[in-house]
Amino acid sequence: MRLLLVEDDVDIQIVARKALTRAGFAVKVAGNGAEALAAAQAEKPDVILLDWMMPDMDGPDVCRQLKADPAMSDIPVIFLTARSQQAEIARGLALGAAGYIVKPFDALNLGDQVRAVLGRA
Amino acid sequence: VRAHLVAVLTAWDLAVLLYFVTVNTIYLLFCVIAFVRLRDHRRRWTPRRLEAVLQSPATPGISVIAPAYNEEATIRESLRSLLLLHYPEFEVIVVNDGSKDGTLRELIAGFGLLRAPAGYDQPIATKPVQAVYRSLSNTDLIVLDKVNGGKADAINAGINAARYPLVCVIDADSLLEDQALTRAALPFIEDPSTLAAGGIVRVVNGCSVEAGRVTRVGIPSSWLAGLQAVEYLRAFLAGRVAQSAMNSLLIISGAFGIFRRDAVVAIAGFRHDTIGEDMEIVTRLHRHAMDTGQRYRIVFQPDPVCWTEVPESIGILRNQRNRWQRGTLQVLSYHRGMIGRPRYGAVGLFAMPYFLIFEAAGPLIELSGYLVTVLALVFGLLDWRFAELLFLAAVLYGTLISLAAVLLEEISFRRYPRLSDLMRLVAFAVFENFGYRQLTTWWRVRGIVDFFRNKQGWGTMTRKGFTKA
Repeated sequence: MRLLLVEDDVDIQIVARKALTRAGFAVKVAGNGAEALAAAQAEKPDVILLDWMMPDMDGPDVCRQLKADPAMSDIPVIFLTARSQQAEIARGLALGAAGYIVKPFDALNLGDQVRAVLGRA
Repeated sequence: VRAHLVAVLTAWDLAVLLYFVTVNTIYLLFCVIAFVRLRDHRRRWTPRRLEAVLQSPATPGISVIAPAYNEEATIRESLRSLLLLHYPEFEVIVVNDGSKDGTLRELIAGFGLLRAPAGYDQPIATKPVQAVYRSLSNTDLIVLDKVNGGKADAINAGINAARYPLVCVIDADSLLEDQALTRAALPFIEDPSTLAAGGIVRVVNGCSVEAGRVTRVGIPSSWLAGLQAVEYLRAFLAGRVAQSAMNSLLIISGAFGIFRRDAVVAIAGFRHDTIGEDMEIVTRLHRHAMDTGQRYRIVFQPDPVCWTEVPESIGILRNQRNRWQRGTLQVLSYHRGMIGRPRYGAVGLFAMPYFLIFEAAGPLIELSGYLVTVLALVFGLLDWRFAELLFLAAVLYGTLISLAAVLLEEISFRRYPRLSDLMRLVAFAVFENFGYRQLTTWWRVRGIVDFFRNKQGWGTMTRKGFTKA
């Protein structure tokens, strides 16, 4: 499964990429919202893992633009959210997100969590 | 032969007499310790200081966990009042433990829930969580829908999903005071080594309740509930305050308790194969902390926080007491390795032996005392003066203790403002010792018998979990 990881924190990028690759995903990484939209358009990934809080364009903004584009609106978006931001997540769901994963995550389980959120556990 | 019989019976009665004098004297000491504690507590926590705590950025967030099983009739109202609690940062996690009624439907309809597929670390193993729900209108509400696994399993699932460092575990039908979370968080702010805090549970029967809040405090009109009101005052205000002062509190009521999440996770959560999971978790917290050499404390917070409805039917009360008795025996047997061991401090040397003698075996001793005395009198084997002494030690001394507990309430919290209520409380305190106490003793003896006869009965008991009936 091809996965686009959108995350501004380099450490989390590295850990998540490793964990997801080991779990059988083909991972592309984008470091901000603009890169994410470009990569999504070019790559048409099967799923997008999107950090909630990023500078400039935050997760909800990216999600809104993805869902507004008919070419990309079908790609499931999963938010990555810090424990402390969970309360806002219902807003993300209302934007059409498939679900969310809470940070910090256990690298051993991240792949399973992605599949579980997609309902393909 | 007769002389021998008299000697044996006399010795027996003396032992029972000693037992009654000891248990009531311990309780009298509890009352004295509690009096000092409550006075200090009142002086320290003025409303102004409470408000200061609320404003402080150091106030820890709390995840309130309400396990729910077949609560469709009341869940909307209870949850509404929970979400209105007065506390700066908290969330409410309702765990629907495979209810067979429309609990989940009520929640979805009442709070506009959205299905929110979620991935999060679940450090404690539980029955699978089938769905996570969130609400657009109440962002601090999470509903977990899981496969039925009993109350402890539901609590564990809630702890897994909790995002704050403190978890407050309540019964779905507990009525909380507006300031419950503030008061319960105080011990953790006062001393960060606090692992857990219990709150006082009061009897709501006889009070007026509006929108999930107690608006007028009153004494129950039913005798059975009134007697329990006094019983609860004695157990909580005298018993638990004093046990907490000695850092040997063994029970935090399932109706309201607050724990450090990491401490509970470290011991793999609540045990789901037990009847008394609320006593078991506290005992295990003590054990683990002392095994690992931590400095810690587990405290009881005497301010009013939580109201619960007590049974007004003899049958339900009998079953409850039978279950409590079996729960106590079970926890003592799980943790028998702690009893009398100096390495477990006041818990091993005082609290657990106390529970073993006075809570676990107590009903047997009391019952044997009553029986032996009556039989001996009937057959003319015993002096009447013995019966008088036993009556004094058991019933009159007991009445004194019950009255002392009512007095503690009056000089500390005064939640019963009307004189007529106070007079009835006093009457219940007297009558608690004439008949009611003997009745509960009998039910507890039955519990002891059931415990030793039918160990297999636990499974079904836990699975039915926490239905009130």
